[in-house]
Amino acid sequence: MSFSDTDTRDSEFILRTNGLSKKLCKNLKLSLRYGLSDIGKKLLGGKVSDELRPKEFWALQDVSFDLRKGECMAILGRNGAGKSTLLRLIAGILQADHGEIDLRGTAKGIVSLGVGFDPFLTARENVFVNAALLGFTTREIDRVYNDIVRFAELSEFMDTPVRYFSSGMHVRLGYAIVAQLRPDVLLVDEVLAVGDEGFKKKCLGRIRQHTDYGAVMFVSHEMDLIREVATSCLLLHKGKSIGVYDDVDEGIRVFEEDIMEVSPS
Amino acid sequence: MSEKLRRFADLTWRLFARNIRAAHRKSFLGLFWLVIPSIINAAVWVLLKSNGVIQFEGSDNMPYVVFTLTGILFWHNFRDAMEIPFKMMEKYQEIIKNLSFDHLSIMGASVLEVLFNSGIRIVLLIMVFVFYGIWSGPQMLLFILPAGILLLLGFALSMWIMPFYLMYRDVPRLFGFATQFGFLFTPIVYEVPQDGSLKWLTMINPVTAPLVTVRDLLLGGEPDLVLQSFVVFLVALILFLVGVRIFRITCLRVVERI
Repeated sequence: MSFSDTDTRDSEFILRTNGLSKKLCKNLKLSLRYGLSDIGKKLLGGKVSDELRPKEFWALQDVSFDLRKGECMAILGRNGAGKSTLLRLIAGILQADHGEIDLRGTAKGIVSLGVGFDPFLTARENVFVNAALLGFTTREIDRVYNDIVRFAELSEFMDTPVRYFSSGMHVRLGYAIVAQLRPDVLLVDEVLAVGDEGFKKKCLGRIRQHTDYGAVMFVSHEMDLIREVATSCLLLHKGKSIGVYDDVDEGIRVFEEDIMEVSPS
Repeated sequence: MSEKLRRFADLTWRLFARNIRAAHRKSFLGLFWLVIPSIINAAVWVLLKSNGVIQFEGSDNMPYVVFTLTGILFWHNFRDAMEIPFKMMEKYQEIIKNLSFDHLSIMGASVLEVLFNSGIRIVLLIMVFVFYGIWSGPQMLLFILPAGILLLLGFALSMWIMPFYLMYRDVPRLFGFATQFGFLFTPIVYEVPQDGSLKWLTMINPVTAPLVTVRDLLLGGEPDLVLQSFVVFLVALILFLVGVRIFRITCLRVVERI
């Protein structure tokens, strides 16, 4: 097992997390009550305790790793292992209950495709709204608009309401917008599973290309795909980090033998 | 303009444009829906008044229909300022859960939408005023100040109620009741009562002063609730500024739990 050893590695990391933890609650009513009490404490300047309250659990507990430029890290884990939670924390969509994220630059990407599309607006209008939500200014969108349309291969449908789009077309449009992002850390949540082979190839090409510019973190359940593009992998199990493997094959082997075996579905 | 501000402005404008387009694209009457409820509401009160249910001692050149329509339109502006931020947050929940962006843009877009709706209602009012030939001089235009206070008060209340509104279904229901009663306990379709329990109720109602001042200024009455309006303005301003702070802190924490 090769845990990432921060002392011996070069310090040129783009992203470093330290003891990252996030609590979730299994019960809706309790969750709401905890939420109100946390907000109250926060507004009055008090501290929110790290203790688990009844029905709470650690969706992510004490996860630490480094991500360097040029790295393409796959996150492996079973359903509910905390993969998406981790991406959301890094993207700044969720706030951690404990631990730090040291991000030198920006982290952006897709944790779910097509969110923010209004079914009654045309694809063109949706591109502008979605890109603005991803942080583009109007001028920047004007500049990359044609690239988005070309990437999505939807030029004849740009004036069609996305309501009439198939799910594949939805995904293509969503990914095409994200493909124009140039964040320091590109985040991609298991979205490559949809879309046809040709489009998938294109997306993989885009991910590979991004490692020249920054780093990538992605979630996938397809081992072949991970072998193809990942340069390292992070194993998560029930919210805890099992380790970071620079040898992707080794990581996949550990995942398949230890994690899949010890907890049969 | 700084880079950050530019992005905020761009996103706010996009969200606003998206809402307006999406809301009116699927409807034949489109923008008319912004004034139809006010017109029907006013028509009902005119009918009630003509049957003697409502007492109104307006002058001859001030028809009751203008009086009540003015009140109702500005009440609806106020209600929009409370309600549109709620609706917007409900609409953007999923997006907040999946994308990282400046959430204050949602409030910015709400403000733009409220201003847009208010503008449409004021256009209707101008047409009514022209039709009845009402013009008492340029000081009429000062109505914009108390009208702004109404909106500020609406936004301020909205920001404070927001976390509860989003978390518990009871709050939207209570809110629906409250606005219905609020309409009746505000001098909208009647003049400020001179005595009785209704007078007491309308005077503790913070909407009364700015709303009555709007109407006094527009319809050429003597505005005698100016001082009260100013007090409401100060209180609303403080509530609003604190409300923005509350929104900043609570937005994510609320949305991640619902």
